[in-house]
Parts: sequence; structure tokens; C-alpha cells
Amino acid sequence: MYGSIRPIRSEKKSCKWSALDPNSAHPMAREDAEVVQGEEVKSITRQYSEEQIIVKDSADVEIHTTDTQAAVALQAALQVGIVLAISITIGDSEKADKVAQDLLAKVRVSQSNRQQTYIENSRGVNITTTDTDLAVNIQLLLQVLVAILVKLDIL
Amino acid sequence: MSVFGELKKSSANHMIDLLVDDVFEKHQIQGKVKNLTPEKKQKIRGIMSDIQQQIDGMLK
Repeated sequence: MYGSIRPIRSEKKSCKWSALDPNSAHPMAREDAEVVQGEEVKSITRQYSEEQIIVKDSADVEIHTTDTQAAVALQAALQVGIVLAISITIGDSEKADKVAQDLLAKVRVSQSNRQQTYIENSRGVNITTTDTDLAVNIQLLLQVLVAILVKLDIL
Repeated sequence: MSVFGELKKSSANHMIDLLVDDVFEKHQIQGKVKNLTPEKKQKIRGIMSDIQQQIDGMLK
């Protein structure tokens, strides 16, 4: 005969949180906790790029590929350029940071790119690969920077 | 047309203009803009030109 199933609770007083005890406070819970909405908008750019080119039993294969690291460095240079231009023009680096953060938050990008090329038993092949996502992001940032410089009467 | 002439033309990209306008307005930037010396402006143009060349080199 089966009785009703009751949760078995350890009688030992333990500081360990128990999901079965309605009076047990979760270690992450704070009685005086308040939910505070962050005022700052964070700019998040997530990028993941992976490229793989396999050449097997082939001759005269020419490969041109984008240097992803250089592209990422360029992207960083553009972001710094945006902050720099605003900072120099208004003479307030803190304000410039906030403006740049606002601008970049609106061009928030999250991208993942995976390219795989397989060449086997071939002769006289030319391969050119470009990380399009990265290229588009760079062009977008450049346009933002140019727009800022035009607005600030520098260009 | 100079490199920047072309860029200026493309900056007629209204969406980006509106975006920049909006953010500048929000932070009241236009009233705070200082008059930069021609030398400083030239330096910034030089940096821009460098970046532009690197981008062209990478994307061609």
C-alpha cells in the first residue's frame, strides 16, 4: 500500500538552502535587496570568427584571406577615433565617453562567422575569402565616424 | 573628388545622420563644440586618412 509522498526534510539545522523549505532564504537573496535598473547602456560587440582552408593533393593553389586580427584592430581604432573626435571637440572626455557609448550601443553587433573551404585534387585554383560580417561592421563604424566629423565641422 | 568628398557624399546616409543628430541632441553637444585650430583639424583628418587607407587595403 502506498501512502502519500511527503518531502523528507533533514532535521539537522543546516545553513544549506533547501528548495523544499518555504522559509529557507536562498543564499543569493537579500532582504534589503532592491532592483536597480542600470542607467548606463552598455555597448556589446560579440564576434566569433573561424576560418579553415584545407588543401589536399593539389597544385598551384593561391589563397587570399582577410586578416581577422587586423580587422578587429581597425574596428577598435574606429571606436577610439569616435571617442577621440568628440572628446577633443567638446573638451570633456567623460561626456565624450557617454556619447560614444550611446552611439555604439545603437550599432550593437553580435555575429558569428564560420568559413570552411576544402580543395582536393585540384590545380590552378584561386581562393579569396573575406569576413563579410567584420567588413560590414567596419564600414558602418567608419560611416558613423565620418558623420560625426562632418557634424563637428572637421571634415 | 577627394577621398573625403566621396565620404561626405556617402554620409548623406540619412539614417546615420539622424542617429548622430539624435545622440548629440540628447547630450546637448552642439552648444559645447569648441572651435578647433586648423592644425588640430588637419591632424584629425590625417588620422582619418590613415584609417581609411587601412580599411581600403583590407577590403580590396
